Amino acid sequence: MTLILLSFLGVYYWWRGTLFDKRWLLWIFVFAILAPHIANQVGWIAAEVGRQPWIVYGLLRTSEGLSEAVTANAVLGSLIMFALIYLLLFAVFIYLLNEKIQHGPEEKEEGPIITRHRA
Amino acid sequence: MDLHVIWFILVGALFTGYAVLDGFDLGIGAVHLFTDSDEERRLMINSIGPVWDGNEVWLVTGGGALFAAFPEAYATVFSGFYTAFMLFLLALIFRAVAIEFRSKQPMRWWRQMWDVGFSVGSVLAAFLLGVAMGNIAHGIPLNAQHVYTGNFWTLIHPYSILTGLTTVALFAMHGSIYGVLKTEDELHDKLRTWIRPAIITFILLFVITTMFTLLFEPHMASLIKTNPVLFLVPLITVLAIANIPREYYFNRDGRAFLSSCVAVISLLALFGLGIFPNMVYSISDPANSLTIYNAASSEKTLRIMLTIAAIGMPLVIAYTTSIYYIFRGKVELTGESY
Repeated sequence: MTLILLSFLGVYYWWRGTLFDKRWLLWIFVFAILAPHIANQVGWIAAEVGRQPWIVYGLLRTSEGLSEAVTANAVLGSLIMFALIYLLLFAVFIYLLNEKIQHGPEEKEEGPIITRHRA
Repeated sequence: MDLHVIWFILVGALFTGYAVLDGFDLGIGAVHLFTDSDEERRLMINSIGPVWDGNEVWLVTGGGALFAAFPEAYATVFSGFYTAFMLFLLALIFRAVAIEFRSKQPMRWWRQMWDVGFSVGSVLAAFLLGVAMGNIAHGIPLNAQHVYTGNFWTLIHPYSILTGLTTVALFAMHGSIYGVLKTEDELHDKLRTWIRPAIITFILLFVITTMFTLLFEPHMASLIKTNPVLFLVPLITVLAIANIPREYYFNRDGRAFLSSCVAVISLLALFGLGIFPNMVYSISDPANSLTIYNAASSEKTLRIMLTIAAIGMPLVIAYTTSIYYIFRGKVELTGESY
């Protein structure tokens, strides 16, 4: 609700032409980016923890739904693999994002870097 | 033609579509490191740039259709092949990320790192797909509850390694022909010289795989034996494969690519005929095999899903065609390129 309110405020001031003067609002926007991320994660945790011990509510328990063919070690291995991948990608993402922000906005390109031969 | 057979063909069509489309994406990855030039590598990545993501989606829809239509087969295969599947995901993730990140920084070590990631990811993904297909053809040990009773190393045996290598060779050939269509000047000529060894390698491996299959996997030929009219399929396969070097010799690269597509499609049709009506053949006790009848969802499910597929497939084909049309012609590097 707060986010919707903030959005309406933003649109109203933009329509008035005064949005870029309202620095207090702009600062709120910067930190408001966190809100949907947190809401998303919390929502997922609520759904996945809250459903236990059922994997299909009222019909199948999580313990009954396990694959017999998959060992616990295999699952642990894949969890570690994904954790490492995500850590790596997160680090690369932060690095690239920082580089882009430091660089600033690009000037409009004049045309293709490699032009085609009109033969 | 009952509902189960229709769905068998539909799931097969989705995976075949994936092989034709992502085949050349993985193929470009396979040949990627054969040039040292930064610009040429960038052009190769951009030749698949607009389409690779949509192509990979066909794998997802194939897996999804498998889940919905033949859930027992999905469960057995995806849980039984778990470790191999995780490796496959690792390969796909690195291929995808490498495409996105490669050109974002100018440093040589950065681009080299992501180039290797792209290439190794592509080759590993192609290899593992071939290993999976080889194992389905060969058969895997299943118990009476249709649960896989082997481990990761059970999946690694001469036949599956052979099919893995053949898949890599097939995709490398398919990818280089696609690359020739999408590039010009030096890179075009370079790729063209690579097509020859790619074709030779593939044909060699194809012949060896066929011999191995006929000798040691005789159940793969049983349906064709009882329905000799189906001999058309391997015939078309061989003709399509033979046509590729012929079109290449006549410099008709577009037709070579079409032949390559037909070859991939008929190879997978041959595979489908070979395993029919099993989805997963049990090598420990054939009575435990998963067929298209005991692994399927209910009739009602299959019917509803067929309606949805009838609506969805034309949409998918429409957007796929439009993307290929929009990005037709040779690759151009612009400010928005990978």
